[in-house]
Amino acid sequence: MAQPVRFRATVGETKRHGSDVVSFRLHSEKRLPRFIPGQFIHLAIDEYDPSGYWPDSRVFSVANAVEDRRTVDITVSRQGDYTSRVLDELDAGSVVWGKGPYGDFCIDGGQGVKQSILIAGGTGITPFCAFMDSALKSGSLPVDKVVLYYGAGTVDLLIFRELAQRCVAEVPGFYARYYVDQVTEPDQDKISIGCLNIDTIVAELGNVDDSSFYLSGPKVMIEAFRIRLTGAHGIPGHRVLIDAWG
Amino acid sequence: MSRKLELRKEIIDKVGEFYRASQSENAAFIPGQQLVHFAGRVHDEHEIAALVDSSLDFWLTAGRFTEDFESGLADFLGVENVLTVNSGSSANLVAFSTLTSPVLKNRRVRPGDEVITLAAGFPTTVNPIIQNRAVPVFIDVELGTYAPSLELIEAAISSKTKAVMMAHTMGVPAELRELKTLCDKYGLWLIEDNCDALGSRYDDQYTGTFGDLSTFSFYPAHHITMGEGGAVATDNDDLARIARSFRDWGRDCYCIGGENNTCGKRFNQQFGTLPPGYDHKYVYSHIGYNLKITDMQAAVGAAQLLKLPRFIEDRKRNHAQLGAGLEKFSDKLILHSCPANSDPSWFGYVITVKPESGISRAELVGALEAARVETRNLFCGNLLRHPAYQDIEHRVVGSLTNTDLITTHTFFIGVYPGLTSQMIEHMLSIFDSMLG
Repeated sequence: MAQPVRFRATVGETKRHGSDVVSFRLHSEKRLPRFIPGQFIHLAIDEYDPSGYWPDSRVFSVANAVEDRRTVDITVSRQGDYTSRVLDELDAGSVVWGKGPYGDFCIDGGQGVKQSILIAGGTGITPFCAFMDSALKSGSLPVDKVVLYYGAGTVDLLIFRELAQRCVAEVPGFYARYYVDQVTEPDQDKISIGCLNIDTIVAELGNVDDSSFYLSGPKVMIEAFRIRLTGAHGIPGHRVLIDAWG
Repeated sequence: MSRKLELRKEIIDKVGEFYRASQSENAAFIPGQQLVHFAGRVHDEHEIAALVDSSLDFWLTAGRFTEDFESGLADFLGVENVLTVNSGSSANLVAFSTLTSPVLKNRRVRPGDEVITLAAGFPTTVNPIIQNRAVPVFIDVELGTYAPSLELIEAAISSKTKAVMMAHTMGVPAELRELKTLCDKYGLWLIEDNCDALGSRYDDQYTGTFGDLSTFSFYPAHHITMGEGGAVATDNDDLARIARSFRDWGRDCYCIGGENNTCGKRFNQQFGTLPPGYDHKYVYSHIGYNLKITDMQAAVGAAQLLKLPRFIEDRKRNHAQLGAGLEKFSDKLILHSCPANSDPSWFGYVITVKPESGISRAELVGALEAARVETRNLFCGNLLRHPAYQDIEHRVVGSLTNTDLITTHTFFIGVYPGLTSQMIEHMLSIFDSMLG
């Protein structure tokens, strides 16, 4: 991975997905290193003097391919005090500091992997958004087949379903399944009702010998799925990657 | 403005005043009295101000200025990764050591593997090969360019060859695009020692951007300076991470000084046979060094980087003036030249005194030095003739005839941006008096 750098950025476009989830577009003042889809940044919203220590910050997955080396998209959900401040205080024109890229939650075709299974719960979709953005731009995948399992509470919280559907339509080998706890809109026959269930997913996939699993979302979900995959389903640990910080 | 910022500005303004006062005391050039250096630091108040600015941070180790310098040089070259080290020699050590990483699996350079290089140059291009117990394979260079031919490089490739590591001597590259193609054909790594060639181009592309890794020096004699300093550049993120590990004690963690747990996995991974959760900050994946720079050096480097385009043009202009003035002595001297498609950012003007010229290098150099014109040999000449290299394991392909001639008949004079046209005229006048 590229050497992380600190960068000052201005908040551009914001998109509110209800009161507790907001997408922010950050415009860096300097050219950024190469990001790999799946990586994250540290975001600091308080004033920062770069001659001193890095201030209090939180990590957020980057939701775009950062192809122009300037624009970084993140999606923030209300989790605690700091994320509440991000949601309540940041608006277009706000100045923030970022630091990145970090992380190795990156989908690749190494070690004989032919199929990548992406499982996203809620805003856990964001690292996969960067992957989808990159796939749309390149028109191809690093493996033969990618299946996205994307679950949320309600249909309107599947905030990046449109992006996923574009991938299904435009990128050969990309498939998506959607799950919601309850359907709130009519005519949603492509969406399954119920929580993401790892046993059901594995059963639906059939042969997973050449597959890697990427888990992103609530900690409880990630940990439960990881244990089932590496235990009951016998998937080697190195082929179950999790997007977990801390 | 806060009191802290006000004071910082006041201090930096005073630095400017100090610099301007010291400049007014500099005397005009008098030929034969003042020394005409072969190289030297060229700066103004901005470098000193940057140095003081960084000292006020008192960050000391790599910090904001290092980030600025690394990203600035990467942008200039058009490469993805630049990592600073404390010298060009350290850059060579880090770059070559990178190729020995177990991470590279069957492509790693192992003890006994061969690396094609030059005997005519600077020792620390070759030393990392020996220090890593690989075997240097020496080939000759061509007089005038002091670069090797592609044919000779290809002839030196054996089943044991893993890499080509050579300098762009005095700013002059070999036929780089063709060399890279040759390396790719045989599955060889290419390390460009670009320490003497920052700003040189081949096929309109900067040298230092063709190889898998390249190295730079910022010692005062070089194209830009930070006192002591160097850098490794690569487009390959994986090689960059290995190189950073070798530079930073061999550690696996990539957090910079003053930072912890930027990955969020500091205490929940398992490495080697260490217990699970062992602090990642103290996990070592390579047998490394500590070759980092300070932020104060980087501050100077960042200010110098802004002047680099002008420095390159000055070097070209001075080289051209010397070349034009020496052209009439081409029957006695082998003049400095470069391959087609290359556009060197010359390090110096290299001259080989033809054996049949009727004058010796010692006589010519003696006259120049007596006239207060600094000269230098082409570094070590034939490295294999030096005491330290008598017993090294190595191979020579073909002969080192030209390399030996360089040892006895070659020297160089300066083209650095600190020279004025008047100084160059003075240099040329000595050649006129000796050879005319």
